[in-house]
Amino acid sequence: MSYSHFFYQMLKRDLQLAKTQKHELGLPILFFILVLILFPIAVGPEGNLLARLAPSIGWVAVILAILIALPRMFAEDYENGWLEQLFLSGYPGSLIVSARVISFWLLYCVPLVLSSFLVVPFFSFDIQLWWVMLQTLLCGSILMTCLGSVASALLVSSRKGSGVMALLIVPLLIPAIIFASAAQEAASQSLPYTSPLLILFALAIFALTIAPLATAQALKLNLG
Amino acid sequence: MFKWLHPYAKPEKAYLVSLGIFRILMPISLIGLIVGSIWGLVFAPADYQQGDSFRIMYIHVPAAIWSMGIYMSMGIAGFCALVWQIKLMELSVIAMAPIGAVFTAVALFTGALWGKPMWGTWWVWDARLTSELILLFLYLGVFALFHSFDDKRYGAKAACILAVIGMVNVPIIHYSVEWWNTLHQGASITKFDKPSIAGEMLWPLLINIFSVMLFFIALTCYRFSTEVLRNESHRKWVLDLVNQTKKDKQA
Repeated sequence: MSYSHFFYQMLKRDLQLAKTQKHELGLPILFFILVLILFPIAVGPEGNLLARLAPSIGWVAVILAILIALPRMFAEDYENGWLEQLFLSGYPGSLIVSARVISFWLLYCVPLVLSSFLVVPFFSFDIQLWWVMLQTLLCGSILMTCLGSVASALLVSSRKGSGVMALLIVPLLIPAIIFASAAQEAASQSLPYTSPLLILFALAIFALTIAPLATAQALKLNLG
Repeated sequence: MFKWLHPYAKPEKAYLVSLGIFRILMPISLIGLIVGSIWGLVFAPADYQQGDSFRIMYIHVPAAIWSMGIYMSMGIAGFCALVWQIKLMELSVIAMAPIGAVFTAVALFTGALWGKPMWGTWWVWDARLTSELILLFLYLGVFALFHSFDDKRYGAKAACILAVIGMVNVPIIHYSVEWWNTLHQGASITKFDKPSIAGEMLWPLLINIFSVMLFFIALTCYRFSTEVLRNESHRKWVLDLVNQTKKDKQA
């Protein structure tokens, strides 16, 4: 099999597997909606304040929801031995990993990013600003998935997963949040917001280049 | 050079050498710290703007500089451990992580103490402060990752990978005061220019910075030697060592 064909087959397998476990796909989105609902109740139903908080709440909720989904990224394949077989197959580890990263992004992150539309009715948010938020989230979620793949691979054989997972990923995500909020801030004052967005995009591309190598290394480590 | 370095990769040799370094450097660094601190805290002239409270920088600045320096050396050691597969290098990463975390905590704490009279607040979400806080979490992450595996070898390797990834953050911290124009003052010593600080104030600071580095090296060597002992506890040379110390105590 050529590399591209192998890559395509991996993606196809992941998507087909996802079809059989629809409930798992829904959980992060449910969690995301629940976090969004908590805020208006805790802060109080004041429209202006909520509209100002909306982009940051949306971002935080997306990060939390992805943190919920991340431990499952390699766990199942690791437990049933599929991952070991893949690494024995002789295809480069980074290719295997990047297929997984992309399928994870398509299955979990894209629905989450799209469901961030909920902030528009919930927080009386401006739809033009949501469009900016969608762009920052699209770039940011690629970055989150890449960093998360490294952490999830490092922790795949550990039994103390999720707490350590947050400790590993959240500090590395801070620059992304800073640039995302800079873009939001500029957009809300109707200034040009392309430059922070481009930096965010550059971060995502950088992570997409480097992270599969580190992830493959971490997985090899766990496979012994 | 590798021929010369090679014998030090043996655990027994590394243990003895690092313990030797600890014994030499610890007194030197303590003397340096005492001299620098007393000079800085008592004899240096008071600042014309900040009065006596500027003196906290004699502790704050070395801790802050080396909190980044330790992360850099940890990342480099982690990189070497991953590339050349040296087991002792992995141990050195683990030896450095808690020391770096304590240095970062000291820098944050003294910064807060200084910030209260100067800026009128214990904590602001300023770029330097926030990125230093993130550094603390990175250290804790490396340490937590090491301890979340039953197999110490996997834990150490995983910690190395994280240490290397986290290095991205160090330049962000260093340049944060220049990139984001916020409350924290700009660099006054660590820039490629004449330091913008008076000589009588500068010397004790330099002494402290240098002796904190020696202190860090000494502590790392000590922790490293205990890590080596724990790792090699099933080997014969450790048993011999234990028997030897027992005999020495009885004699």
